[in-house]
Amino acid sequence: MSDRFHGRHLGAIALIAVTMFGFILPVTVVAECRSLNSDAVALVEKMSHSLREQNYRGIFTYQYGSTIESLNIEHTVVDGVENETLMHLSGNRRTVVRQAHPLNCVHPGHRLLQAAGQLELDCGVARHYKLEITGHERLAGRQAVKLRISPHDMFRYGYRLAVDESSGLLLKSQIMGHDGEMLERFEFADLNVGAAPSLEDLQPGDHVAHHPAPPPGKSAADDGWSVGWVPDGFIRTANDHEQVAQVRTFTDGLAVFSIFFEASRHIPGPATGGAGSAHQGATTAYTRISSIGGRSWLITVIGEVPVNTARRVAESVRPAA
Amino acid sequence: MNEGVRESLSAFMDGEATELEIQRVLRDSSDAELRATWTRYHLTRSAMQELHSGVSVEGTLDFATGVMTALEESATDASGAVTAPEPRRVNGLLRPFASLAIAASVAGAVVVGGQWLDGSEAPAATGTVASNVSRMSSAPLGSWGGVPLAASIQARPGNRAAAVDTAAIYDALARERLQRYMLYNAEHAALNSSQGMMPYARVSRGEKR
Repeated sequence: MSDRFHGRHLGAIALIAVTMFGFILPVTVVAECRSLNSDAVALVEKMSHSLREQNYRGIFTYQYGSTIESLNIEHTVVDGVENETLMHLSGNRRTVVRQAHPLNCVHPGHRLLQAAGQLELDCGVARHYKLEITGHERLAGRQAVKLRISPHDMFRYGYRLAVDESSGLLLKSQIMGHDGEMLERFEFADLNVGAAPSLEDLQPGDHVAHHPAPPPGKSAADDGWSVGWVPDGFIRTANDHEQVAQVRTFTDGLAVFSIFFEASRHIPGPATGGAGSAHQGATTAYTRISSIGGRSWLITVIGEVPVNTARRVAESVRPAA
Repeated sequence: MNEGVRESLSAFMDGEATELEIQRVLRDSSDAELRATWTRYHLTRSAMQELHSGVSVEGTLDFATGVMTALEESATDASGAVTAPEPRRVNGLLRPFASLAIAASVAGAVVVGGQWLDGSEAPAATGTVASNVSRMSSAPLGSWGGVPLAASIQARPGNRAAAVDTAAIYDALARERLQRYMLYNAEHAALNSSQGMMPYARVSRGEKR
């Protein structure tokens, strides 16, 4: 009985080994990047290029909780520069315009997306997320490939994406909480790829998209404060000022969070150390009052990360050495 | 307090019940604790509306300061008096300072509410509070317009109910910062995530810079 079982068991292992060997062989070259699926990596890389290099216009919805908004987006590339307009179709008419963004201006987040599967570039997003293709679906009248992106740790959220098979454009993006709950969703209802730019597309908007300068080197003065901890894989995208706050922004290629540091006029006292949090869709805000260098500061972390991540980041803020 | 009534108040707070419905509930009740809770909710809601209307950067900045001031008062004062002005009385010129005053008074009102909810020392035991309660009950609730709402409180540190409400104040502060800084983070998400300009959709209030 025991021998028979043993024999069958070995046979099964051999069969699995042969199957796996045959399957893994084509991707062993890049298999050093953890949990890698080469098709998924290729899809992510294609997506990050299509997003910027294709001409498209369409209508998409943004949903969180019981709130749903519809928006119109137009993206054109002329002579190597991007122009794009986003317009809210529900509520007040609001537009965001980005003009003359050079295609060769690649931001840190896109570099991390494009580095998935490249061991020499630390595998980019594939180092901290598992990427898998999970099937196909039809969206906005188009065929899409479904991509599941699961975090390897508890410091970030998961994603369910759907990417247009022919153009590589993102048709749907859901951010998922740790309990599998959908926190927010972007989804195209209509998409026209290859739409030619028209002159009226370039209307001035209510808001001109900000284009932050790249962050200074690590040696740059940190204005009296420093961030002691961010989850592994998050890199700095900008040092900036916003209204009255100093800001540091970080990305891991999928999520982005910013740390705001502002002086509080409060005189330090026994009550320092209070904290609170708020959420909208996948965005978390965590605010705490902290005494640093004999003064009182309000430290706020805002971004698409779980509240525990935001809290840990906020608590790691220290006076600069 | 009746759990159902508390839910009605919460619904009002979230904009899911009308002021009329709440008035009916309050009219049918002589519960001082209920009225105190309503006062607290009303002030918090008014303060939030002030903040969300983006009255002034200075004013909202002072929100944190106001919270801190109120917290310190509650921690150090044995018998601090907190005066809560009715927000609708504040005229345009004073608006920048209104948020500070309201924020401080919200915190104060929360301490009051906490004390009352705790029930360890009935507010009716002090004449000042009792008279204020009776003033509230005699005034038509929907038209408090010109009646400043004053309350003398016996604030003590370490009260559990008050601590819970302090957390609510910090959460409100986080919510206010979320609205204020959402656009900034969306700018960076638009350039650094896989979603292109889609993150701008998160900025639902259409703030401009």
